[in-house]
Amino acid sequence: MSAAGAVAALPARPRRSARSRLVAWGSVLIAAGLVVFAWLNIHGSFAELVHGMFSAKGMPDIIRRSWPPRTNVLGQSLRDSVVTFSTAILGTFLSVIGGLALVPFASRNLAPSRVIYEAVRLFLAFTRAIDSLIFALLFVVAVGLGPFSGMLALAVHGTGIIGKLYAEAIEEMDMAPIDALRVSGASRTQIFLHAVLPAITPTFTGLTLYRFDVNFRSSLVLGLVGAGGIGFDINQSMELFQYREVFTELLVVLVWVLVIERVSAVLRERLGA
Amino acid sequence: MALVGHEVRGLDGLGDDARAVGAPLRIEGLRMRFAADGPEVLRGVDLGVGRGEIVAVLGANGCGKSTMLRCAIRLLDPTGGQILLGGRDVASLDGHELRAARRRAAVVFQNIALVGRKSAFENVCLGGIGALGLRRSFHASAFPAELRGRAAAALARVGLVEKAWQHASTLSGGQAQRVAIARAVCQEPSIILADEPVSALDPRAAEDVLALLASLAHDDGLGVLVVLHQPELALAHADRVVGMVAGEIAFDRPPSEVSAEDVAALYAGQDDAREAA
Repeated sequence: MSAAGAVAALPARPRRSARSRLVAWGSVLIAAGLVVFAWLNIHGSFAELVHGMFSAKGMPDIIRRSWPPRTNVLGQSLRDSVVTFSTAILGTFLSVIGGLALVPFASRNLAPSRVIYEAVRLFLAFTRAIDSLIFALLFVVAVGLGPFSGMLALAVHGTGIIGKLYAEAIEEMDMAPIDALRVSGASRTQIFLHAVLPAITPTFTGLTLYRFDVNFRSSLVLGLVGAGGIGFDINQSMELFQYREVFTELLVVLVWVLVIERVSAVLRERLGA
Repeated sequence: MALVGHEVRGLDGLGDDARAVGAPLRIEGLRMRFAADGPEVLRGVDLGVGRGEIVAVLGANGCGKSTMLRCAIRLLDPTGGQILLGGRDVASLDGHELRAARRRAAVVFQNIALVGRKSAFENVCLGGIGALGLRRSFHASAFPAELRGRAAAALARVGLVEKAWQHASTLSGGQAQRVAIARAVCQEPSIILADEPVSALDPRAAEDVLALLASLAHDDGLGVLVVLHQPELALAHADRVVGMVAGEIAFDRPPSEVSAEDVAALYAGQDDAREAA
């Protein structure tokens, strides 16, 4: 039989109901309305955008004053970028520890009871809802200026995110090996160690590397509120209108981001994550 | 009804081993309902499995075979009746006592349920970790020599020593199911409960797996309760064949006494039900 014959034999395609068409068009209109509403609320102005990007005192002036990059701050930028890197490493490490400790209670299929599950999920939602920048402001007050505050902020906020991502990965995993160990009399901890972790390690690794990537960029921003690192240098240079220094510092950041992205991609590929 | 005339013997028809108080598994008056206002899936099932005996359960989809098996190890909580594993009623147990009772019954699943990223040998070891404390079971390198020896022997028992260090995810379906049986053996149970263990296997591998289960019963003295969809395998390997229809035992006899009509009656009405669906 020809392909055309097979198509011709199909029954007529059912028409969408008037209600579902109304819902679809209604959704598009609501989304468009939200965009307009948001634009009006931020006092968006195309005229200001064009003026800022192209007038002599706008972006072209900043670019002109950024060239050439100032090399005498390169050494300091590199040293401070290592601090930023270390902040991200420790922040990620502690959030992985926190996430792993909480995930057996935050996954619907492993939690010992519904009450515990809801309580842990609420805690994770709380730490996730408050941005690391806010946590950094709090920790700067509590433990003082510097990268230690930034690391703590990343750890607390990251625990909420990593805990949720890990828990969702566990909820989607094949339950058969878990059931097999459960009916053999294994304890919850043994099941987690020998059935859950091995199955979920590639996913966990991928999520952790992604989170580290995000944390490195977040720790730049945390420098702006006094949490140290190269973000702090960028903030100072900006405040003093030292755009040539800013350019050098941004180049250092760019190299770090490219290296981290590349290493992360290679690791994920090798681990099958 | 197709069942009229079938002999329903329940516990009265069993051998001495299955009737004995110390039999690996005795199910008495088992009832199960998934929702309070839903239909009863198990309606007073009586069944026993003795030492050195392999019992095959046949029946159409939805007749309650797998539900009975899952109730037997408390993966499901029955709504009535007793399940005696080694003489202890598992329905009344919880926590450590339930874990200890579960160790007496090993389960072989239809979907094999190995940890794909672990080797065949490590998977077999996992059958025995339930009896260990956390310190000895924290990592495979901490497993005691006795467990490792038992796992090696179990792997040899299923003829897969040469596959010991191969990742479970790279084994064929038949090999993986034999590893799952080795894991069950390593648990040192008094009974193996197998839920459609050959559904995903080709006929040759299915035959091998059933022969292995029969050998574990006859040569190693384990009780084996196996749920099957292959009457020919049940008739060839089982000591008793149990037919289930609509949550009840329709017959329970030696294979030599099971006729083609008995088997056909188990699946009668399936085509009508499928049409209606």
